[in-house]
Amino acid sequence: MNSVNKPVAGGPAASGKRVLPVLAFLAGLFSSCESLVGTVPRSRLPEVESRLVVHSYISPQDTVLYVIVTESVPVFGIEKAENQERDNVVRNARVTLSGDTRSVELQFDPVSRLYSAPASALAILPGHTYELRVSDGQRAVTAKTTVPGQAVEIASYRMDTLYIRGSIFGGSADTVLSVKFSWKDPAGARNYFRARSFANVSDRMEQIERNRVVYQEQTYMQELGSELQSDNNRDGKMLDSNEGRLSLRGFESSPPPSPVYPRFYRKLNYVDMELLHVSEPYFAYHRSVEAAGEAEDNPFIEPGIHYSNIEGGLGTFSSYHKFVLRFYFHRER
Amino acid sequence: MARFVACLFLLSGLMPCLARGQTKFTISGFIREKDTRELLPGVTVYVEGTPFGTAANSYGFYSLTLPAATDTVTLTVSYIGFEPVRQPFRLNRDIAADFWLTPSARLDEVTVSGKKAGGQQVFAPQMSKVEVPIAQLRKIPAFLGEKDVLRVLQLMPGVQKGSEGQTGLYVRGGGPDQNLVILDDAVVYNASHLFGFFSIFNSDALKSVELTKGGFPARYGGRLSSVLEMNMKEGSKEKLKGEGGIGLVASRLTLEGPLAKGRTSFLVSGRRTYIDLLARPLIAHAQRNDESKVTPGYYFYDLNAKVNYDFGDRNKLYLSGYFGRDRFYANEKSSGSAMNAGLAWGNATGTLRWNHLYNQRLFSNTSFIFSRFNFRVDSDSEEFDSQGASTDKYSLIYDSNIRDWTLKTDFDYFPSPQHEVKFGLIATLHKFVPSALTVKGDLSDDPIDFTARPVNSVESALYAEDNWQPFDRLKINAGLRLAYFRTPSKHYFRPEPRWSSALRLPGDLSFKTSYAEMNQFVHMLSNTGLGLPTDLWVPTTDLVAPQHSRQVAAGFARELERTGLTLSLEGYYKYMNHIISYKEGASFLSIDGENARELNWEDNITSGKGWSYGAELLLQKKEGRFSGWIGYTLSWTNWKFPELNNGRMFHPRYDRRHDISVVGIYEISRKITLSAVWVYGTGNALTVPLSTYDGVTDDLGKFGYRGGVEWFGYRAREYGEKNSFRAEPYHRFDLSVQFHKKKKGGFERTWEIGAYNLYNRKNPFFYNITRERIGQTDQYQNVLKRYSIFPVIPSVSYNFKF
Repeated sequence: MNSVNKPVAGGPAASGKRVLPVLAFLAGLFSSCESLVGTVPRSRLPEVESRLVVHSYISPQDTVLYVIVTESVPVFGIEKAENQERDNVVRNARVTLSGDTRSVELQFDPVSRLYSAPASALAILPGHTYELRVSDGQRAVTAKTTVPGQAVEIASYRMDTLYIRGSIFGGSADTVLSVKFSWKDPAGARNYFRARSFANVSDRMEQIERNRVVYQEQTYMQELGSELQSDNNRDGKMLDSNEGRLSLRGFESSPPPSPVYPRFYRKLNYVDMELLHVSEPYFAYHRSVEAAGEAEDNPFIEPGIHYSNIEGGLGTFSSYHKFVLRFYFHRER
Repeated sequence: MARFVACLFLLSGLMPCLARGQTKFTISGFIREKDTRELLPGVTVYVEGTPFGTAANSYGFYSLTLPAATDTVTLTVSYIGFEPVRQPFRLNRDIAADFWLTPSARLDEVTVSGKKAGGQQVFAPQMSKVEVPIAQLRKIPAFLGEKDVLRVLQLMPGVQKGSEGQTGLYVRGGGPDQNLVILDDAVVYNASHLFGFFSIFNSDALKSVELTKGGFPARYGGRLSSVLEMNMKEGSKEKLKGEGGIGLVASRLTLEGPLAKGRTSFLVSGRRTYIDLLARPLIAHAQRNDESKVTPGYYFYDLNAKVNYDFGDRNKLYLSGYFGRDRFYANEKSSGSAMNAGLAWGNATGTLRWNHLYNQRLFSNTSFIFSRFNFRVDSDSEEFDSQGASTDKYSLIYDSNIRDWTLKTDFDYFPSPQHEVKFGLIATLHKFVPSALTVKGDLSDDPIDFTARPVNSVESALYAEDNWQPFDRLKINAGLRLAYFRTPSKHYFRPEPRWSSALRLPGDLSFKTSYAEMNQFVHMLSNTGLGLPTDLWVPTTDLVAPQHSRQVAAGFARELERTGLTLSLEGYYKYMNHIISYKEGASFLSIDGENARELNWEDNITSGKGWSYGAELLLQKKEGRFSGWIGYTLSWTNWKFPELNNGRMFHPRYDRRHDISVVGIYEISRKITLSAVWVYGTGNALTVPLSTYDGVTDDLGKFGYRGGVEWFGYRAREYGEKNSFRAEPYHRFDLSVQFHKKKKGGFERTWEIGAYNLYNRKNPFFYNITRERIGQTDQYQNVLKRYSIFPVIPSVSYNFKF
């Protein structure tokens, strides 16, 4: 077989033997074992320029305003080997966020690689529209978002423990914490939500070193469940989150009082139930991200097209109203 | 429009009354092939020297009611591939006259084809109809030597193929699910074998194939884009006959003959692939020393059977069926375990038909029909201990199926030379089980038995149409179909007006127009358009509305007498509403969560609108020493879905600007037939990434602001507009030579040698992006790779007939 880079050309090679013309013909056809892979010439590929990519989410509950500015990289461009993992952050942009009466210019923070300003610099108010302008000298983009006018509260929740037997989809028998909550959709308007729950857990690993039990402990947030919902066909009804789950025994563990070391111990500190009443662009963007993730590298699924509401660029500028319910299991003194 | 059609009916009903003063007589009967007594559908019967004529119906029955004449009238009966018959009658009473046609065996140019039909074909109001004579189909070069009716239809203007090698039909911007495929009145849901590379129709068992792309008569309904009607042969009533073939992929055998001479006959036709059987010893040999033995394989088979009983001219009974199956499998066996996994799908249809002739002017057919399509993924495994006792068992079955029971009755009424009325009703009970998943076994303590709620629905329709000739130069087919669909909680009632007309212009030229509204109550969800069995049939529901289309077409048709050529030029515009597609990122089996909760398929789909328009040119010669056609299509298709491409309009994948087919068949001598095909088509509309960038969700990748200020992007791809990249054009040339020989005792054999894609064009099947180093530099670039699947493919096959 030829290499994959060889240009596609040529026809069947003729067989040298012509004892029987028909057999020779067939043999000739079979012998044309050229590569079935060819390279599409550059001239047929679309010409694409790098564009500004902006991501910013604002909410009345924020403590800081931030905007992430990067640039896109054309797929068919030539790149240097060392730039394979290059950082596409745009550091020299001018980023302005404006409300009805005030504007604030966000400053680049090289540590967090984003543009930020304290929330006090510009009040984010429900029902108000904000405009974002980003320019790096050559390219300029704008976007607008209207913050959802109503905070929607969690009306009820349910937390329980379940004993789960292993299934063919993986996992061994386990005790899990199950979290689920409900809220009432404000009637009369199209609403979009993100419902999610987190657990703050401390995982402790104990093992024996030099005949002594030593331990390591790490405290972190773990997402239990997160999903987008719209009130399409369900206007004004009670909506339910999906069930979020947390393993209480931890990863493949020998939990105490197991005499076998190393052993693992998980402590649940608190659970946050978050309900975000989100703007339509927020919903559309995150839904398209999910769809694109599903479609990634699956030839049987049409590629997911990323939503963008950035005029002249890519990404999203959107907003939400957040309601959080925290439930403590164990509070550090 | 509905009111207009109602008036038209009223008017057409009055016409015979107004003409009542005149004495009329009817000539009617059946038209059969002489050797086999097979009834011939679509045969043209016309009265010489008059504008009156008709065509035999699907059951070979014709009826002409004419004013009494003192002179004799001469009927000419003609059909492609048969010697025409002329017969004079004295029209002073009703006459029953059957005709027997002899297959044409001449090799010389038939120069009378235009004349002999009296221009009836061109002057019929039906437009946008394609017929492929089965005899011609057998001579056209075929992929791997397997003659395939759907592949031949893809060579007609207005009909396009999807991806390389696929048999799906894309008719005037519609998808393969929008074709009503009927075999002996039974709807066939999945017409593909081997992931769409072969169709399920065995041409040896077929008598006629007709594809209607627009101007649909009211008797057809239920799909938006086309009607593909196929009828199986009845089987020779004279003597036992057989034919078959041995090819590289499959072999086939058809037997037909009388059960009671002249009254009852049968036909049985079977086909099976054998790559699995041939490969089995080789695989076994390769694994002879392995502890674990794996047997992979694939096969498909199909079986057509038909039996009929002729009670005389008044009553005929037919029972026919199709059964076909595809199966991929892999079985693994070792001392400690056994595993079987497979993927199987298949159709089964059965039709019981009763033809009844009430009198010379009223014919009816009543059919009772069963149709089923099933798709299944199964896997089971078992583990054994050293004593051979079973320790663990596990099984998974995924099932999806659709099952129909249909009762239909159709009447053909021939009241006068100006009118041919067809009316009838049809009712179908559908049962859909879009998906059912069962998982059992020791490995799983949590068995799953999930069945998407079966959906039962009723689809029915009442129709009437009149083929009306108000003036010598004008023929009209006006009709109305009242379609009705009922889900458990919702009713859909849709009137569908239909219209087509032909105006005869000087110079054997005919100007045709048509308008048709269609509704489609069952939908196919397809991710790929590849004809995979995972394409899921689902019904209209409370949330999913029926698909609806309106199509107008106009064009010219002409028969060129001297050369036997027919020429047609048509333009069409089709608007489609409520067409459905998967949402971006959704697929046929969406399982969510740890407990394998299935997402409802209704959540995975979205509906939108489509527009398709274009022009089609066909220059065709159906018989003679040199026959074939040239077809050209210029077309545009646009879709607009609120949830796809961010609500902006886009071209669907198989939008094709230019499509050209050239087909030629040349009978060099009685012993040698040469045939060739050349096709060209604009490349498919595809979505390729233009650039990549850091996408950041509101949690900043990993709760950045919760634990610090770091954010993480994921690598997002920018695709630009959906399907904005055009694949390279598709073209290829196929050639075949057939060597015929007749032997003693009526045995005929044909060797066929052919090549698909003779000049070895690397047509794209799919594209992929790969990263490559540029020469010896430290620079890299992404390149777009084209993957082809069929280079030049030679074939040889042996066919016989006795």
